[in-house]
Amino acid sequence: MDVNPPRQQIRIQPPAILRNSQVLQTITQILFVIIFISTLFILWSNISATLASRNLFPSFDFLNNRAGFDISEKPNWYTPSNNYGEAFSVGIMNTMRIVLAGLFLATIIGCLLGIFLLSRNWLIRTISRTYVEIIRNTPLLVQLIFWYFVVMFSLPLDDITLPAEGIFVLPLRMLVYPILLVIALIAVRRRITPYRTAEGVLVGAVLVELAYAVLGASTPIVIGTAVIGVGLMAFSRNKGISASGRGQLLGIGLVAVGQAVVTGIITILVSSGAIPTSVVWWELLPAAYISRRSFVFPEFATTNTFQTWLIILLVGAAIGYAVYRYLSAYAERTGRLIPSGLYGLLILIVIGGIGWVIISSQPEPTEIVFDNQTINVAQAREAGEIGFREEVEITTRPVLASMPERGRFRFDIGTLISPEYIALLLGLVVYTSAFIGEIVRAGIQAVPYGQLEASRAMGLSTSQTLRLVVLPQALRLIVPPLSNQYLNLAKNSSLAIAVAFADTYQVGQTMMNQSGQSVTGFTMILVTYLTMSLFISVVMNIINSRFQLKTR
Amino acid sequence: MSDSNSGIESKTVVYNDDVKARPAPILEVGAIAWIRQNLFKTWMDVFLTISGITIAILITASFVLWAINSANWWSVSFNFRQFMLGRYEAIYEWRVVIATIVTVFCCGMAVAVWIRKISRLATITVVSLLILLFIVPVVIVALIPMPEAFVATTAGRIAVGSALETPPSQLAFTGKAGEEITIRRANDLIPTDEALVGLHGFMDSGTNLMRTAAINRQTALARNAELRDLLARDSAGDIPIFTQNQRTQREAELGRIEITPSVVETYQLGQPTVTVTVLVGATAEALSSPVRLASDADSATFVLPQDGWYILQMDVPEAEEGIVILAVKGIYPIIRSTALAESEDGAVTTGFASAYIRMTDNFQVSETLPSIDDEEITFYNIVNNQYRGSRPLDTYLRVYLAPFLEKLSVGMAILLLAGVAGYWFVALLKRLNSQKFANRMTAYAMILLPPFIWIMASGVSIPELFNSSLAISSVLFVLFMFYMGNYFGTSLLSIGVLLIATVGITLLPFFVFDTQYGIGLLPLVNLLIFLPAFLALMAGSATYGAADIPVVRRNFFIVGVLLIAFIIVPKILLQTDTLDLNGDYADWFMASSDQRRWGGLLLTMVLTIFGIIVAFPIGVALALGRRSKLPAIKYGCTLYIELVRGSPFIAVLFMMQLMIPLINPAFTQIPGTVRALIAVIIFSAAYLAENVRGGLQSLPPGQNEAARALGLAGWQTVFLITLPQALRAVIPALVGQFIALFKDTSLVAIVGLTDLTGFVSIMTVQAEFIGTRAEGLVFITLIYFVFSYVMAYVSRLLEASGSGSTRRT
Repeated sequence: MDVNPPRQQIRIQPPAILRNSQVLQTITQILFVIIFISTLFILWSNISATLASRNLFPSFDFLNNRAGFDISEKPNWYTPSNNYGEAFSVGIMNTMRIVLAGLFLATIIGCLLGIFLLSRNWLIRTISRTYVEIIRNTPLLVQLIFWYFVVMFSLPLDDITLPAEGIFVLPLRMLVYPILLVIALIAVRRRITPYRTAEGVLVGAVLVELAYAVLGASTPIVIGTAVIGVGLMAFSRNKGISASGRGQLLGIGLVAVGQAVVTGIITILVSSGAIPTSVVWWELLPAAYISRRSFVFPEFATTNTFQTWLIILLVGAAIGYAVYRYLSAYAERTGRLIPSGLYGLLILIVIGGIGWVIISSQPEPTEIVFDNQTINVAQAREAGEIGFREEVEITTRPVLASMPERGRFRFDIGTLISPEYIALLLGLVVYTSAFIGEIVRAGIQAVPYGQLEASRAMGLSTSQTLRLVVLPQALRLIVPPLSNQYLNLAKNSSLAIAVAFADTYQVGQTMMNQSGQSVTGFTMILVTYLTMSLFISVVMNIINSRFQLKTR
Repeated sequence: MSDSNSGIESKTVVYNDDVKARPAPILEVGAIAWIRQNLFKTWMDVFLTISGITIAILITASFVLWAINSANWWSVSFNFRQFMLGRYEAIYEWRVVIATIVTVFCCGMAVAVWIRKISRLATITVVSLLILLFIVPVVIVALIPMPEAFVATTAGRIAVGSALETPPSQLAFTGKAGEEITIRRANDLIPTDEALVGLHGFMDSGTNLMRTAAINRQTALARNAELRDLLARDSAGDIPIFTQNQRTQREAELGRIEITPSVVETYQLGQPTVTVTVLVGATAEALSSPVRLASDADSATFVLPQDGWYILQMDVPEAEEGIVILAVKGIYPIIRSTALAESEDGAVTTGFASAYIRMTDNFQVSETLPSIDDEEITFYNIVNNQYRGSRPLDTYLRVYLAPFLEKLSVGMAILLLAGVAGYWFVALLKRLNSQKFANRMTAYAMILLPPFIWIMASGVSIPELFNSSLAISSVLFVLFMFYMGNYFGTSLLSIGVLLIATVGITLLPFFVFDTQYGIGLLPLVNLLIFLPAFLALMAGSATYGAADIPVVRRNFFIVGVLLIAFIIVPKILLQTDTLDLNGDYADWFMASSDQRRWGGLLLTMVLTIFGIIVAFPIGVALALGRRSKLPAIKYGCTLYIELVRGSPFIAVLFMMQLMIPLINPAFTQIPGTVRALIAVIIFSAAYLAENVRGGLQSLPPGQNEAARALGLAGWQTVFLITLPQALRAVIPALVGQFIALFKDTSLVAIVGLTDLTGFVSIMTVQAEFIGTRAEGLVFITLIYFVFSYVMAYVSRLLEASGSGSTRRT
């Protein structure tokens, strides 16, 4: 028996057609579209009516009007008499400079940070974790203000030179170390010397330099290091020491002996007058001048032959990529481990090098037109009138580099980078790299530990495990959030307005203020950022699909 | 010896005495083993450890040294109120205080209900921090005396290089009744140039000039010696240090350096005698007869009789040459704060009022500056008389840290007590009734909290009050139709009530309320009530007859009563004139706070909390729409989400600031704060939609199919099955979005609103606080970090306690 009998009621039902789900769906969609479009229409008509009452008519024609404002960071061709469209394109170029450099640096530093976060070393782990927590929990704007107004403004007005002017550094004998390191690496690879010899070489380099710095590089010290080196090399034959210890000792001994020999040879040659002192001690011209007003770096100028060389490089890249693909397929098929990427890169380098040599060996022109004057090259060289800019026109080398040189007021030669750019880049890179570090750490930690154990059981070395087992699986998890962070970096670059860097948003804002066209201005800004986001999304999606699991 | 095939005889030996356990090797056990394993395992580890320690020590040490020795923390502690509240009206401050206390109380309740286990470590940390906040200032004040201030005086003028300074012979300062002023000659502190360089304390410009001269001389001496040494090494060694160019440059520089005689001798520091006295500021009467300070042992002490201005008068005889520096205890820098003097209700501006605030303890004096012969006496102000020199730790503790902690301690204690009270309140409810009751009360409290905060912070004017009651009654009407459908079904009665009530509510403003109390868009909106009310009726009648009749009847009557109450009560209040609309009521409780004056942490929290709360239903709707099968809705929602997510936040902010006035001329009066709030809502809705979409996607499709099999309608599935599970699964992502939004609100500084970040820029423009940007930034970084970290911690606790999809009960 029902405790609560249903109540009597007169049910009124809507007509049958309204109870058909498909009809209801169509009606709902039509209603939705009507409401959506009518809302937009009301908004638009209200806005244009208000604008019309202020004599402002939204249109894109204003882009051809004279801009009338200067941009703080601009290419040489921009003046205030260019039109708004060109001003906006300068803003877009600046954004590209920031975003491309930022993405590149943030990825590298973020990956390093991720590796540090997983380090076996407790101190490094803790420092990285503290760094990541502080950076992630502070707003980006606060960090940018810090970098610009506190760090940049604390730089002196006079330039700091790096390295400092006039101090002789890099004695010739330092060349021994990289040569010995390469030899050690190859020897270890070829199983001539025990493993960890390269580590020994590095440690030995530090120890020997310390010894020379503290005790001085006089003859008895040099002979003493040679003797100690020989003794260590002999000692490393002792089977009583562990294998890794033997390798390290051998490395240290090798470096000690090699350095002592080279130092001795150089001293003999110098004191006998066979080679001048200037070869032994090199003066490093300052490579960077840093001050509150600007950062100046070496200039790399492209010459007339650069385009030809670029074509050769592209051809080399294509051949290298083809080789890479072929060797990768071969490795997949046969299962042999072939460093296909390395070989492809080598081909690119070799072809580029050959191209450089061929192009550079072309004869130089005898006469050039520079600054509307015809100059005879040979005569000018004799008179010593060829400067950097003239040399750029004359030479057949594709790229000419020079350290910065001061002119009368500022630097005639050198790449000038504004502190705004550096502050914005540093702020963005530091902020985004903290997030990327976390993502990389999470991705690597998500690889099941059993994989590592299995690869170790199979006898793969640490680097092989990393390359072949851990990274492919980790990248699957890393790439989607990584693309998110890339998009964030691209959008956060709009904060350039806080540090007075002339990017898309800042130039667009000035454009809107000057011309009064706020609606069209915002449309242009939004379209730019949306296109950038879309482009990054598409590229990252392609990369992502390459790493994802291929299921049915 | 055995030669049999059975093998060698074997003997088993048993040792009967104990073998003492030998101690473990030192290198393998305990802390040293840990260090070896974790820090020094390979050569790379060694390198990393050493460089890590070096970098950590360098950064931490330089930061701590800066914070103690040279940072000007008064910019933070003096502007503390503005960091917290912006320019919020002082007369309404109590409202924000009450709102904060109630918020913390509700947070305590929430912690009790949703976070089952608080670690003991957390409780101990918080309680001990609080105890420290009270004890530390008392200890510091008891142990460390206040430092001395330095005042230079001379018969003539001080000329150092191109700077010319005439130290005034009269200096105005403020003091409280009973304070002692002790004056002595500071000769023991400045016998030589080196001592002068190391002088630290509050210095007036004259003293600072002397100090700067001494510093310049010392620098010149040092550079001279350095250059000589470099040039000597250059010519002595085998290998030259400089190129020819550099050598010529260095030699020229050496030639240019001038070594002047010692500053102490040149200016005859400390030579003349000085007669000091203290005058009462208002009357220029001397407190006692002048005291002559001739030798270093002489000192003068004056006791101040009352609060107010005093004048320190120093006379150096004309005949005596030189500069004497006095060390005075009891004089501290003063800052002048000019505010618009407003009448009681804040409506009328009656000119400017200056208040003189002493930096060390915020002692305030409002009288005008004392004057002698109609000339105002210069007062010991913060601009000219800063703390110069490297500050030792005890001065930092006494002058900066102790007052700041004192200021914070009471507030923090009250907040902590409120939180604990909330926690215990829930425990009490649990004991009185049940866990479920306590949960429900907490849920109601959290729901009512945001409107409460808004009303307290922003005030509500009478028109707004009536408009709100009309709006609430409209919403209640929709709910009423739902329960009507539940109780009566789709009968003639229900449809009739629907039609009549819709018409009634549309015409309600005209008949029930006087038009002067604001109607606005409401009648048109009320006409649109019909559609949701109809849908609610249909929805309610879907479960007609199935539910528990007493429960249904109870719901129906509750909502009906509420609806009538929200309509009738305002009308009654109007008719009987109980609300004195033009009298004190209005000022006291209903007065609106000008939202353009909101700033600081108040603005940040308001934008974050209300942004998330309003954006949340919009985001859920967008996420559901994006997963809809109907293409128009799906593409519309996708378009909105992708458009907003691809735009930078400041573009959206600026757009709202510019476009909202364009939409309707009446919208020009919407304050910038509300426009920023709208931008935050639009922006967050898109990001929340993506997070919720992730949760919706994680739901197994079997849930949807089972719901259909049980006969649940579409919207019922969504509200009863899909959303609860999906939302629980994305709680970590939601909290992450909340934290990200909290940090992103700093961007409103670019649009001209003074939130925490914006205020730092404004603060550094004032003359007293130029160059204190770093201190402000450190302070707001601390605030942001603490809030973000605590919210992330709470989110982890929420996850751990099973509020996510891993809940076991």
